Amino acid sequence: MSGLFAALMVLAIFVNAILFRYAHIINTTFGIETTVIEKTTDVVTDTEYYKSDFGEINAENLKALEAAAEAQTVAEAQEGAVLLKNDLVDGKPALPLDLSTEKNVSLIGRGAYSPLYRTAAACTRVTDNNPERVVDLKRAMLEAGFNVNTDLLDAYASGKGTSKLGFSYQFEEPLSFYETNAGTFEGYKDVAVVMLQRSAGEGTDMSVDQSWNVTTNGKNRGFKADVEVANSLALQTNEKAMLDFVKAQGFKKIIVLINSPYAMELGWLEDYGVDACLWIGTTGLTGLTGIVNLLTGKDGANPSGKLVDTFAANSFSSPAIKNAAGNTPQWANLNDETYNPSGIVVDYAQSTTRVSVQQESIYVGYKYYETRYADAVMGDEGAKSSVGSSFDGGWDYAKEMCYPFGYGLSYTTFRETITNVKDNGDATYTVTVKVENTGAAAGKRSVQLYVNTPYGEYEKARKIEKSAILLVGFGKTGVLAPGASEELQIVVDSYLFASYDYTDNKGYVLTAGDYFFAVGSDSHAALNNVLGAQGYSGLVDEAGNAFTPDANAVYKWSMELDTETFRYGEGGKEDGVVVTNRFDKMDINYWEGNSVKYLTRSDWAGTFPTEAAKSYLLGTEMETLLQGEFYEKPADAPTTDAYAQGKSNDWQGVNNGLSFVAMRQASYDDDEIWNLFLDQFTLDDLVLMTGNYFGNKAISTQPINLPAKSGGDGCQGVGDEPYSEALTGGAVLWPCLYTSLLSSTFNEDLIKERGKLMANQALFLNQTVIWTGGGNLHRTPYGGRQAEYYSEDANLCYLISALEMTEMEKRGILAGIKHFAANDQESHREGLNTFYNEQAFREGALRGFEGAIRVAKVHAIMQAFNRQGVVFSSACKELNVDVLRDEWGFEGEVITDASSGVTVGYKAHYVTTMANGTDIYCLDGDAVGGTIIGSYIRSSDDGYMLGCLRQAAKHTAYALSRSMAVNGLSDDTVIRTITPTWQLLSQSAGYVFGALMLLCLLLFALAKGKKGEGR
Amino acid sequence: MNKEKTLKKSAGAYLGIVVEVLALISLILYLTYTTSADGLFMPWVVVCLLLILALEGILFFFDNDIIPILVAALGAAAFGCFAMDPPETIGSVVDYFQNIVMFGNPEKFGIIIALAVLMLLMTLLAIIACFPERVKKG
Repeated sequence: MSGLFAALMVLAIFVNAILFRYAHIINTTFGIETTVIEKTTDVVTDTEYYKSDFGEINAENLKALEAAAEAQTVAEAQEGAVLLKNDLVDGKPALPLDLSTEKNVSLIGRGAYSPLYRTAAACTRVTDNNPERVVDLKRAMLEAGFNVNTDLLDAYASGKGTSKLGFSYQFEEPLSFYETNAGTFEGYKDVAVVMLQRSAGEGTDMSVDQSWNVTTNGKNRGFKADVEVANSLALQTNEKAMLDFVKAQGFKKIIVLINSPYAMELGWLEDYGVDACLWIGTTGLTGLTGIVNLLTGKDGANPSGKLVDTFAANSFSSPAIKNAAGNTPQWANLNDETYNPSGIVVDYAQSTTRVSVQQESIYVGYKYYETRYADAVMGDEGAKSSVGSSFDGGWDYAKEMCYPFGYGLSYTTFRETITNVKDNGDATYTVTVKVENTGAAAGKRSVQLYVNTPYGEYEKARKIEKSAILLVGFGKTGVLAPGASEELQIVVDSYLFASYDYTDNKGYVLTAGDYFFAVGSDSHAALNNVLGAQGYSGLVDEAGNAFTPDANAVYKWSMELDTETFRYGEGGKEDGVVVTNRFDKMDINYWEGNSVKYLTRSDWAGTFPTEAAKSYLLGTEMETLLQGEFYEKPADAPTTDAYAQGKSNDWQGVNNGLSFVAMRQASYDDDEIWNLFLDQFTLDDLVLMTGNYFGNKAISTQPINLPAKSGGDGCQGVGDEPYSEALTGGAVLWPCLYTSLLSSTFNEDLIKERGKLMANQALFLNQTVIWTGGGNLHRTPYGGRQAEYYSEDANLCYLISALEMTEMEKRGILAGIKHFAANDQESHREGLNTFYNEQAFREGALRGFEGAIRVAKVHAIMQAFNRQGVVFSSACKELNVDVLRDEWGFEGEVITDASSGVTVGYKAHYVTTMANGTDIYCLDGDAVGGTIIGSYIRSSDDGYMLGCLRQAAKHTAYALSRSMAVNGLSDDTVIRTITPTWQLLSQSAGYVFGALMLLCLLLFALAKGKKGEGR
Repeated sequence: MNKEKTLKKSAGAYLGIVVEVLALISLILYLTYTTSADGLFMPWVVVCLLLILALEGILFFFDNDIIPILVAALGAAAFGCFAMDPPETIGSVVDYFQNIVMFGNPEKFGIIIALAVLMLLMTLLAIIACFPERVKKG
């Protein structure tokens, strides 16, 4: 029996440890309250400071909210899906379909059977848990009135295709499947709707080489090199066979739906007789209804979405791809036996080995393709050279391009004219664009406003790069009837087209010369309009056809050199912090022994990356930063007695009579009152403030009374928990899942509505924060989290996040944009060393977050797993303090990416990360990180670090005081913490087993003793 | 003498042999698992399994009533250490069910479950082995 109880006791100890580590998620999942708010008086006050737009939090209003969210998802799909191709069939466009004559359809492809509603990442689990709410393609088509070949769809259930994140070769069924089921097509040959799919997600990029598995660092079992296609974004062997088969079946029309947030290579559409193609990204819970509306033109549904990524013919043709995704190289001296003094270079546990040098500089996505095209048109021989060409001969834009950024067809045609430009005198312009419907169908138009800025000797001398065309604003018309027109006024902030000069001015500059505003059907058309206005000829469209520029789509003006307007960052706050270089060390060439070329349009042939950069880890400073534990107690650090909760007060706080709810009135800059508030925290309370499971821990110390709240995670929908059973009457109900098409709607109203609805969902979920809004860039088409991040274009990220997140924050929901910053790949994402030049970083990766911080003024931000240069993002003061707080004026909480309470590895340098701008540790519900910091403070009496911990607590408390966390609180409320029954029982089990073991051992010893006596 | 001792073994001893074999398999599988990716190695798992192997070996030749209790506790400890730390173990299971790669490596799900089953089975048998005699009486 002793053995039994010994084993049970040991098991109980470990089970307790595990359960308590995940206590927060257990309590959240099962709706177990750990704190209660109690009133101490009978005074009735309205403490609902942040109210839902849907009225009182009750079951009926929840239904209305979810119905609105589902409608939003339909609208996003309908306005965000992009019509890529719409050929004539019998003299009429293939789309929209005519239900009276094209009713019998076959839905083909494993994707049609099992659509991709979202990519794999933390977010709402509604499609798993509420299947009755999911609108799949079959349901959407049936509801629209089609006759669907259901036998074929049913057959997929027993097919051989399998879904594996990041890989596509094994997804589609083999030809034999279609041959076996060929009979099902009879009677359903009006239209073939073929749906192709690509799926990846968090921790998994789309594979650049499917024979290799990055996750396991090994060959990919099941991949047949002699049969399969290695590039996961290319058309796969089984897909080719399936499309050939479909083409041979005699369908009246073949429609292809691209169910992928990753820009697939689509140069094959003509080869398989495809009549129309619609890019539909991921469709969310109900988005396929919107897609089918487009197919039928129901109620005037007409595609108006525009691409937010470039669809290149060859997804390996961008300058970024050699140093990104699965191609990311290791240090060049990783295995160099002559250099490895500290061993850090091969410290796998610290994730130090991979290096992504952003050699492409600013030329991400269209900025590369369009700029190179412009230079080729202007006669630059380097631009026309074969370096970087995907095809034999010189670089040819039309061959390289399938669909440019901003592309998207409609069932009608439009003419866009710039009718007026007004300089507002505050570094902004108001551009008036007249849109006329010149076709025969009613429809909306997404208007993209671009700018072309000067590039000459001044820029070249300072290594200032310029994209030949740059998105700076957008708008969308209402439904325009044929012949009707509408004028849109688009306000442009010239900050968005200022350039960062990191070699001379060390600040933002507007260089001297001619500037052009331009509109067009896409980025390429807008550029062509500019080039036409500049007098260039030989212009072609993406298909290589001659392009006739429209002079009315361009507005030209001139500027003198301006180095001052943005000296203090956007808005010219003269009492603010001067903008200057802060990321010199993130340029690989800063480090002696390295010499990497960044792409420049002044030398396309000589600087286009044709292989991965060779980066060397050399020198003790580089190694120390990479190792990550580089905090040193300042020589002038005070003792902890500089603060109320210092050593001499036995780490206890003092009572200054300030409750958390009272702080909702305190301004961020009122140091006096915040210090009084913080003085009330014990050291353990401050430690607890760093703990987090998306939400926050309770501080019940009197008079603070900060309640525990949960938070939601997910860019595709509010995640982590369903609505409480009290609201749903016992049913499991998760929040609605949205599409990945929000950006491509180019519709301000829809973007704002998404923010509003997500905020309301969070209010109904009792969540204070949503970790959402992806500011990272689609640097290559392979990034696993493309569906979560807005676009390849940083300005578009800026503009959209500003709109969406403003709506969340004003409803008391913290909009925690993620993942800060330059975290644009999932392969090797843990600890990835990311290098860049400062212009590229500021106008790219940083710009993607800037709109949320500076315009929406969000109060939360999530860091990333990667390193800035060799410094872990969470320990990067230049990023977290110098830019985020000092330049951008961020007032809120900074959380790590999933830290998970680890005690080894690069995330475990808690003292260093706290000293460099981190406030809270994600998924560290037990505040393991904070406890390590607290222990350090106790043992070292380091008042500087205690100050950092207090500052972090202030950031979090300030953010929460501007959120719905204050709802229900008033001067007469107190927070009482409760230990859940399961935790008490779990602990008790350990004690009982221990006691029983001791008892058995005692009896065992007594029995032995008696035996001995007996002898 | 050893042959004589072996002939005298009863159920408890044979269970101990099974526990020994399971511990050995667990150890080999665990080392295979930890060397398949970086950062998975938890030394206390190996320590516990090696102690089980050593103690069961001793027990085979030198009967003792305390060792089976220690083996049972060590079996539970080996499982506990494996399950608890590093977080990749539970994280990989969570990721497997959530279909993401966030806390661990979902591709390790199979080997993690196999190891967990092996260790729990070993612990269960070690507990059972505490009860019967290991040497035939008389």
